[in-house]
Amino acid sequence: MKFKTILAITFATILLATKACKKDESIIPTPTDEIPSNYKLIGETYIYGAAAKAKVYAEKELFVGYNKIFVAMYDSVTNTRLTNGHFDANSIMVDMEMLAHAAPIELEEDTMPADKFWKAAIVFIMPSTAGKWTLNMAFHNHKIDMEGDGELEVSIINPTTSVMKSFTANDSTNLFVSLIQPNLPKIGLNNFEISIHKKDSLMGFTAVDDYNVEIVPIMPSMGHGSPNNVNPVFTELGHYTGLVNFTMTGLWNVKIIIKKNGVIISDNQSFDITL
Amino acid sequence: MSKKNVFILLLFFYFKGFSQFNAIDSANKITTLKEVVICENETNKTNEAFNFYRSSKLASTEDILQRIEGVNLIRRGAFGMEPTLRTYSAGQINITLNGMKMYGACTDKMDPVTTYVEPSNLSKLEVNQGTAGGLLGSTIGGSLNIQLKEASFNCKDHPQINFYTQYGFANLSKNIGFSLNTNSNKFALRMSGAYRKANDYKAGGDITILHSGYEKLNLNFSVAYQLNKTNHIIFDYINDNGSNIGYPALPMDVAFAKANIFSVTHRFVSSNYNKVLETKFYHNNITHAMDDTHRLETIMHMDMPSWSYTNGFYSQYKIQLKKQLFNVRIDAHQAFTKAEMTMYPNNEKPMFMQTLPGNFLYNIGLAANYLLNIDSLKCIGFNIREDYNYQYVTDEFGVLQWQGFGINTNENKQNFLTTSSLFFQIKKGVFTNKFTIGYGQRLPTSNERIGFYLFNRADGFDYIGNYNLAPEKAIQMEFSNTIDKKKWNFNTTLFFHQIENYIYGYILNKYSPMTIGGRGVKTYANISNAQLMGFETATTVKLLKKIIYKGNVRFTYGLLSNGQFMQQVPPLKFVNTLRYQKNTFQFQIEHVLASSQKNINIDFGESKTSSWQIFNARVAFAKAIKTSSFQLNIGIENLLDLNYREHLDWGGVPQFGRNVSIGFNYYLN
Repeated sequence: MKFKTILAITFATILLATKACKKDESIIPTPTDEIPSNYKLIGETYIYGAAAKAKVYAEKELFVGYNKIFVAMYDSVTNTRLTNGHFDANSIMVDMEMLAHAAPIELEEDTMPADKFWKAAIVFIMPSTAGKWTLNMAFHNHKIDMEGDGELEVSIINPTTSVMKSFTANDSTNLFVSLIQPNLPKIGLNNFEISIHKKDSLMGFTAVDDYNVEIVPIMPSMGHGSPNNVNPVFTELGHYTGLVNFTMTGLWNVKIIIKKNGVIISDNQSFDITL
Repeated sequence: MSKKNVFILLLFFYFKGFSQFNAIDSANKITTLKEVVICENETNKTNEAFNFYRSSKLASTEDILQRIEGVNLIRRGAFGMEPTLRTYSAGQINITLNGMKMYGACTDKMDPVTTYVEPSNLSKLEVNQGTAGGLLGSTIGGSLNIQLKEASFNCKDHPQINFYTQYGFANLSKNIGFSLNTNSNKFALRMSGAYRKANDYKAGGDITILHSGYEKLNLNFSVAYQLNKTNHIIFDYINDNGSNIGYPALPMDVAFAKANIFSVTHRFVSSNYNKVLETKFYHNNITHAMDDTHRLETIMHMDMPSWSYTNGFYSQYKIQLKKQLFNVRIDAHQAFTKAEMTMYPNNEKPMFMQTLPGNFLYNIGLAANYLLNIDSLKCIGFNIREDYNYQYVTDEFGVLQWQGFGINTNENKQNFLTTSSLFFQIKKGVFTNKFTIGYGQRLPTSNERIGFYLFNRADGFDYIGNYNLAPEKAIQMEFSNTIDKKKWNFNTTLFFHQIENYIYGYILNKYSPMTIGGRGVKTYANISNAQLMGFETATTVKLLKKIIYKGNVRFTYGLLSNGQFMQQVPPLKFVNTLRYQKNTFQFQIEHVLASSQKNINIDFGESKTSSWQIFNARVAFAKAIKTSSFQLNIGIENLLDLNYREHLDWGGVPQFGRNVSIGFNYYLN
């Protein structure tokens, strides 16, 4: 009786062990490009002069609003991933009247990013239907100590729900307010993050860091709000972060009130958020 | 003015009348339980028909309940009235069905447990006021245990059958039902079915109360197996199906309310009946759905389903010695409750939330009571119960909802609760005096803890729970005096309760209500204390050989530490009944009088109620042929067709106007 039990346990152990080994084998990753599965390829271009090729990724199709892009660089000869370099970018749109506009941009200053992606965030202020957008990238390839640049035409769509508001505030400044979070809104507390940029000229934008922002979430079809929201406060680069409380699913409208030196300069902008 | 005079006059005669009687000694009566035995023996139907508390088969369980002293009903429609014991309601009292815990699924209290039983299946109602009701669960308000009939063994070789039908004119209600009991040596089977359907009722003055109709089918099934002379196994199943139930005092009705109640019981009764051990395992579930599709005022359609599942067991041992009675009980249960709301705006994604986040409550309790007859005149008794409760929100959606308020409902709440009482009874001549003191605690309800924007029609506020509520506790004192004479008896009970950590709704400023048109948002808080006091009297007088008078008076007065009156306190109420009975004919006239209630709680949205009085009359005939018997009942309630509302009627909805009901019963005994 006892012997049988021991035998059964032994067999079971062996069986499990073999299974585990097999599983281990399948887990070992095959050498890949290490592109996260949620990254979508936007386009690629050679960085002439730096012997590099840039592949540009984003989490979704580029849209009017705050977009994060992830750039992987490859040796244009060996096609191996580059890990050390200095990245720079800007984005330009030439509109129907052949006027050139830029877009607010944030660059991560990191020459050796751990995940081998150089990162930038761009606030596209108009869709491609209004003109041609290009992403201009410069790269200093530290591997061979050479630099150059490349250009990639990108397509910017207008999202079904607006996540960027451009307007003239009461003090006549042209503001661009972009909704960054919540990205995937859920019931309860969500991080609420916006960026505010001021337009200085067609080609120049400044991240604004001295505003006070208040949020008022409302369910428009019922007219009720929610308690326990935390007004966004300035963090860095024109970003303001707070908390929004969604007490039920459905369509919420989050009103943004912007104050400068205690005076309201805008209180009629809002974002629709559906969860 | 004139009503007031009548009232004072009546009060005068009431007390004057009794002072003239002489004291005569009568048998010692120990009443630890104010037990109303409705009918224990299904074969003895002739008496049952004439039972005081079930004068009309059309009567619902609630109709019977409200005739018991200390019991009042909160009324939101013609169906699903919520019982209160001396103003205590909901989580303050402990309602059990055959000793089983059951939680109404509806967050708007549309389905108190009492709605899932049919009066034709009632065996008895055990009402214990205050902490004396602690045997079956922790409580401060008392307990109400509904005992249902089960399959019974008898020596008859044919089944016992009952068939009844009733018709009520005020709401064109139909009520038909049957029951059947049959047994062999080893097995006994009882089956019963009841169907009722009612239209909107008419209040006094021929005013139709819209959305007050209902429909319901109730099936009961009980099988008993006799293992041997002392041991039985009983299986019980109840299926109750309510549909299209109107609640005129609420903004929504009920589409359906379905309950399934299962239990398996083992019962050991020693051959000399002095030891009883009963163990029961049970499961019950309720699915409930509110309905706004019949309401024209609905701005946006919503679905509001809710669920309740309870699993549990108890084991109770009772031993009766010559002078002592000892009861010990252990019970445990696990309850899951959840309620949701989905609203459907035009051209938008539906809006959803959990109005009661899916949550588990675990409870285990240990209770004992002991009774000792010191001598033939003195008696002492105590009961004690300890409970351990454990509650948490299990549904992630609900947890996230509450995180939005900075509350982690996933973290469990644990509470130890004590309920105890002690009494001493002494008899001297015709007087029996009983002193009771008690201490009890009660758990905050799921609604009070984690309810999420639950609309309360009474005050127009949305309520959100308070996860950190402390249990309510109460210290209670009661004095009861009974004068027992040959021709009459008179009982007076005075009580005083000091409640601490009283759970009370207060306004949350700057919160916007979820309900369209809501006045604001409230939450619950423990307020330092509240006092509840009052009295009840019960009188029985044998006026002539065939005429009996029964009357009772009840009064409660509640005050809160914030200076307000306690909410939902009924005013002074008299019920006077005069009955003539000769052989198989019975005539009864009932007079119900309530004073006005001006002690109202403004926070709760209460309004003053004027005094009123109504008259009811009932007549019953019976005829027996061999083993069969027939009965005819005719009742007229609210004879004068008064348009009135009781203080606990919500939404200013008046009660039934003149209602004539006719019923027919057939029994094969």
